[in-house]
Amino acid sequence: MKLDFGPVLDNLPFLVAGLQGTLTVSAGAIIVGATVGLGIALLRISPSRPLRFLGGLYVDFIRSVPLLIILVLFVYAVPIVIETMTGHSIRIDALLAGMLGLGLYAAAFLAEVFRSGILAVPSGQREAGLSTGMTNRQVFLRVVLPQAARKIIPPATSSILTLVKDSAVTFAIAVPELMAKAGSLNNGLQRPIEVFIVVAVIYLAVTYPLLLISDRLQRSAAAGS
Amino acid sequence: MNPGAMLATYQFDFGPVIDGFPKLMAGLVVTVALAVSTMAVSTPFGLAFAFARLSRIRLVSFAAHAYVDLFRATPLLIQIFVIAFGIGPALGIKVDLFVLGVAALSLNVAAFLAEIFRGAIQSIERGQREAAISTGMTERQAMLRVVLPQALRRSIPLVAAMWVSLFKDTALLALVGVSELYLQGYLIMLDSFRQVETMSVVALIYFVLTYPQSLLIERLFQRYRVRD
Repeated sequence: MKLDFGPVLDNLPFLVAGLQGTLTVSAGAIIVGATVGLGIALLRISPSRPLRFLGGLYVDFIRSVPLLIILVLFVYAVPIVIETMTGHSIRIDALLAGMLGLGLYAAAFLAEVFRSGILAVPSGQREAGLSTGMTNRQVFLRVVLPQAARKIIPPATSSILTLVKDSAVTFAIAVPELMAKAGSLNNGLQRPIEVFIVVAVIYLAVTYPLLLISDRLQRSAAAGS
Repeated sequence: MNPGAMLATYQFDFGPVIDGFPKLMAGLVVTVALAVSTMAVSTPFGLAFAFARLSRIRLVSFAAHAYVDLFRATPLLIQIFVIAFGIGPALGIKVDLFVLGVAALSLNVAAFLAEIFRGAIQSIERGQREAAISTGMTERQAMLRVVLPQALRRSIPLVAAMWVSLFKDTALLALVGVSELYLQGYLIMLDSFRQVETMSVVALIYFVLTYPQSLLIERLFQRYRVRD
């Protein structure tokens, strides 16, 4: 067998369109994941026991189940829930389902990143803020969060890298991203090695810089502590 | 809207997934076998790559570095597809899907383990090695008898975390046809059209198995925490 990258390279624009899908689903999932993740982190450090339990349950459940199952479950369960609650049957667009499913999955991991970042800020900071007359909300937004951000950014970058790589799994629920395009191109060409190697290189264009940044941030965070 | 009203509209039927339980358990055996085999194969390779990265020979450390970064930066799913659809058939002989699956996961896990082991080896204070050498040990002896045992101990929690993520990642092999837990569930789902019921049971099985492992890891982290 001889490797021939020609046919794959002829279809490069087709694959690059898939990369656009990968970036779109990843960006949507990052927004969903960061928002829900911060919410879950706040539940997990809230003074109310039931809220803490709920937050913990979400994190523990999602982190114990493969992404593939979360995605498939999401695609089948959400229409049933919406239909029974509103009486209208709906069809969720695959791209939206991918953003939400991947985002809700990443939220569990990001919640832990946020939580440990917030807890790393000494409690004296909060008390000092309150004593100057700020409200709880102001203290959180102006004093705690900015300091927590420094602890949060390095592991969050690594979570984002994982998310972009994990977006490949969303092809299983028909999200039109790079992996899906690779699959259909391979169906036509029957050149799996060439197709998937070219696709790996396309992923690297996005993921390798992220890996370098993430490694560098982790190193300087470790050196700084 | 209360949950009771929801149940009234959608009729849950767990019959098919309960009937298919023996199949799920057969799949679970494959899942566990995949994870155990992968860990057994990738640990020595991970250690070898860690040493290669620390090698003074430029070419060796560069090659190991390139390997580790390549496998950490690309999606596992692509690695699986290249091995299962590309390399496997290209070898000409018929290789068992289970073996291809373990090979693909091992290549990936070895790269992550290499980073864990390298980090642990580098975290051992220089003085340890120097003290060992000053007692007359060779460099090799200092590494194997003094540095490595401490480094391995330090890497235990991260290796355990790697194991848990490997345990879940085995599900991706369903996409190339390995009959593990998820694929068995998927087949029951296709057969019965009871998607939500089937997948929630499969999810629950993963949860019941994985969650205690995560709790154990948290304890390992506390036990082997490095105190400055």
